[in-house]
Amino acid sequence: MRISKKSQKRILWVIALLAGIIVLNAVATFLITPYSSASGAMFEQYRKMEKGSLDMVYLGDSHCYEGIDPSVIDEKTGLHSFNMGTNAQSLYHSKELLEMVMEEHEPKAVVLALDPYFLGEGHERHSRPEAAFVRARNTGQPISVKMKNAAGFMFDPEYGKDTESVNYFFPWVSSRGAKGSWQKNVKAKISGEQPASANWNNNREPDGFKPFTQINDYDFNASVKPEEWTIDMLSEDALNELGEICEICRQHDAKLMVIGVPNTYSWVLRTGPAYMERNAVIKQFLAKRDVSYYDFNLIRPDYLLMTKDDFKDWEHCNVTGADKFSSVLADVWIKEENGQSGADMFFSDEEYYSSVRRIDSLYLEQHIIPGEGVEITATPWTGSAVEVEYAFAEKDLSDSDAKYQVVRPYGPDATFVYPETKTGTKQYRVYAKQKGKKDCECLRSIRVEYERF
Amino acid sequence: MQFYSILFFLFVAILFILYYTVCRKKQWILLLVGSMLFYVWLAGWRVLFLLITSVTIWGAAKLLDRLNEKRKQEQKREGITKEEKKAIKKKYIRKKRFVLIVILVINFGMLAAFKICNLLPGQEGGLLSTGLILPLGISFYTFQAVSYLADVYNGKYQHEKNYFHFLLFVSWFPQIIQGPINRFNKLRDQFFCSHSIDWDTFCRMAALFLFGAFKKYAIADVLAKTVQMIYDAPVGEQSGAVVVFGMLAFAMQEYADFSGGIDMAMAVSGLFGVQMLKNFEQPYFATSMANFWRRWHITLGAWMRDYVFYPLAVTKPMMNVMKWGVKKFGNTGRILPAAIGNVVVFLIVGIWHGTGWNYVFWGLYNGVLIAVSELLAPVFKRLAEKLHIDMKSGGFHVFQIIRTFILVCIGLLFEQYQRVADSFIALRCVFTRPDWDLSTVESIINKTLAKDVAFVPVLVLIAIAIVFICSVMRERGTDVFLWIQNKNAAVRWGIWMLLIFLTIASFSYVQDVGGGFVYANF
Repeated sequence: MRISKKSQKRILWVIALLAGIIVLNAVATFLITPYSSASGAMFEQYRKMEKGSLDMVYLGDSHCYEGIDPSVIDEKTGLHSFNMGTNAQSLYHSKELLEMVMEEHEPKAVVLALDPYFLGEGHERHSRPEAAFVRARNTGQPISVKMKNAAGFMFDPEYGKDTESVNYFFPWVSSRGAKGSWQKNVKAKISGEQPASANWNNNREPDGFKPFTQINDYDFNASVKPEEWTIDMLSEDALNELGEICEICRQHDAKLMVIGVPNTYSWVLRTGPAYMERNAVIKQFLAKRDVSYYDFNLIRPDYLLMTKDDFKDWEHCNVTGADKFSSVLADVWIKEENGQSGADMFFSDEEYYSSVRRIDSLYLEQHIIPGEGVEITATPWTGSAVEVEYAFAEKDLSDSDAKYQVVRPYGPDATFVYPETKTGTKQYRVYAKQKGKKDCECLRSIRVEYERF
Repeated sequence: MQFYSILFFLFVAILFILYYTVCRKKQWILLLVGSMLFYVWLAGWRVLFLLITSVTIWGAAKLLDRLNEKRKQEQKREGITKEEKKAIKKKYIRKKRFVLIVILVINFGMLAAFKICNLLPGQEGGLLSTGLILPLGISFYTFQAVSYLADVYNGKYQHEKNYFHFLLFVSWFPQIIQGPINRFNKLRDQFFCSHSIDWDTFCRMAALFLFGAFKKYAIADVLAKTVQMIYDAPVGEQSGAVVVFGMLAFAMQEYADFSGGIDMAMAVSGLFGVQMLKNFEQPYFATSMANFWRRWHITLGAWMRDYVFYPLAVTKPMMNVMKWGVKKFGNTGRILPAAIGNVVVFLIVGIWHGTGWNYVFWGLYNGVLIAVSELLAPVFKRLAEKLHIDMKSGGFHVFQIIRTFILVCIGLLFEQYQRVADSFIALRCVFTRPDWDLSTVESIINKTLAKDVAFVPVLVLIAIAIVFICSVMRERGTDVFLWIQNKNAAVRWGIWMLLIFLTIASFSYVQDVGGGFVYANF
């Protein structure tokens, strides 16, 4: 069949356009995407494991890979375990990983670090971490496997009708390094060596654990907001996935334990009593499937006492915290293996709230009252038995040498209206301490810009 | 369903290939099958409502023509007198009117029920992430079908004998999500004639799709979070600068979102040789509110004009109003029916957009502005003459554009705030808090646009500038696509690649905002 010159030109034009897009895409991918990703780092270490060598795996999101140190657990239990946690790992991907690891290793034990966030309606799955997960899983795989996995993502009912299904072809859209890190990425890609950095997601231990050394700044990091949560926010789809994970373990005769990794008090308390309601639902759901659920946020301090310095941020352990937690996790596991329940190691709901004896942090809300000033209300994240007193201070930001001036000394009222009569920007600070004690336990600042009234 | 998604691309690609190869002889059947499959895929069992509309309206149009035939036959009877002919005519007009009213009540009743009563709570239907509860495109296809019925009623054309031809018109998939509201006589010939692949048309449609995606994703979706932050904040606590910035940002967002979606819909339709009706014509270059509504959502405005405004204007009460107006106010009185008609039309337009009082107020705001400007047009003309203002000058033209844009932006406040009072509070802030310290605006930009990537605001401004330049060119009658294609290869390629990569790059700095179209809850 002869193709006319005009048609030939058009075909060439189309090919050139596609080639141009492919080349520019490749350049952008090379420059922008990080050398590796949290998922990439996990798969990289996992693939080094000899087939059939794993006795136990840990599944979950960043709570998992930052909180569980397999080496600590292996030392106590004698098992060989691996941390398969990845960034924002959905229960859907936990299930996929489980199926994969069952095929390749048939571990006898599985620990699922359950993040209740992924049980919420509308939060079950997120396209970008899932796309990164699929790409990481594809690294080093034959082309047929890559195409199958990629098609699985693109035609997933969750994403097929969404923009992310097309953006899968453009990794640099969703996988971006930290600000200013592209030079490091390029260097790493050229040299083939992972940039060394202590507090970076993409360096994993050989057992999949990611140790972070930083300590949460309770006074500076963005404060913990109250979380509204009700039972009807629980996603049926997510619970179904959880049920399927239980079933896979049952079919492979693997013992499953579902846990909640320790977070800061603020993170737990922000949900209020609904936190315990949610826990009860999860416990009941898993108990029906003969699976234990232990929320290590509720563990008695005799067994595990997490201090403020054990956290990297509001919801993740740092290496010290992970070390402590992993050791106790191993103890609970051993108990379970011996047919005993670890339930007595944990508080009941009411016991937990009264057990919190420190003011973990403050959450501040601002409200401008026209004609009066700026109203600041403080919410303390603390236990039910703690009586809090508040002091309010301010600093005028128009004066570079200004210091904080206390405008209301310690008192029980958590609300204060700073009288303002002219336009400006101020930093307001609230100090909190326990009644009867001298020292401030925590403080929180908020910057408010306001206009004349 | 996003136009920019793998499933939609695949769906269109398969349809396109079949359309121009295997199904060349019966192309319209393929389009019908494709459209119905598309609707069922997205809306599931709710296709029932679309079928109810299509069956009732097609059936009613058939009945109307049959009544016309019967009337003609009766009037041709031998020995019939003039009075008898008149009586027969009256009888059949009453019958036709009855049929029309019943069908309108059924279909508009269904629409009203969904809009006002939320008859089907908890729907998701696999539609947009906004959790749509209305059957997909019910406003658009209902209006579209009703226009057909009204045209047959008015004798504009005969009813379509083939029900499936009509069904294709109602269910045509590119228009179903957010319009435009097409007319049967404009699409009929295009649907049922034979089409061959045309390379130039293909390129033009591809470019139109790209431009639409560029507007939607590189401008509208990027601005969405910023707009949301401004309008979610407690009203009355913002500076005048933030209120104004919010209005401008929302004006950009809404135009880019709606016109971007329409461009993509038109492009997809154009791939099959079906040119839909234009829906936007550089609306922010309008010189008056009336002119704005002839440039924004053109097909809705035309629908209202043809099926609400004109029929209302020629009713007896309106004629009486005109007579009274002429008696009282002279020539100005002639405009009274039109003024009232505009208020009524925009009241309906407001309710069409949403069922809250703010939408009613927004509709009335537009209607009253148009009515008042028409009534006062002679006064303004005399004033301009007195002040020696040349109304034909370029400067005055620019003044008109800016004035209209300000009025449109004020109207947008009523769309954003559920409580009408909040809109006035926000507007008051512009005057009572004229602290033009842009640090509050900067703060909002830093928390949204520039949160992850510092230069995003610059990219958005570049995108807006590109759209603005294209709008100016179009306003001057330039075919922008042709203008680009006539440039040398380096410039041409540079422009297309820039648009492609700005569009794709925009996804990297848009957080999960939903992504559904602003105008798809209709």
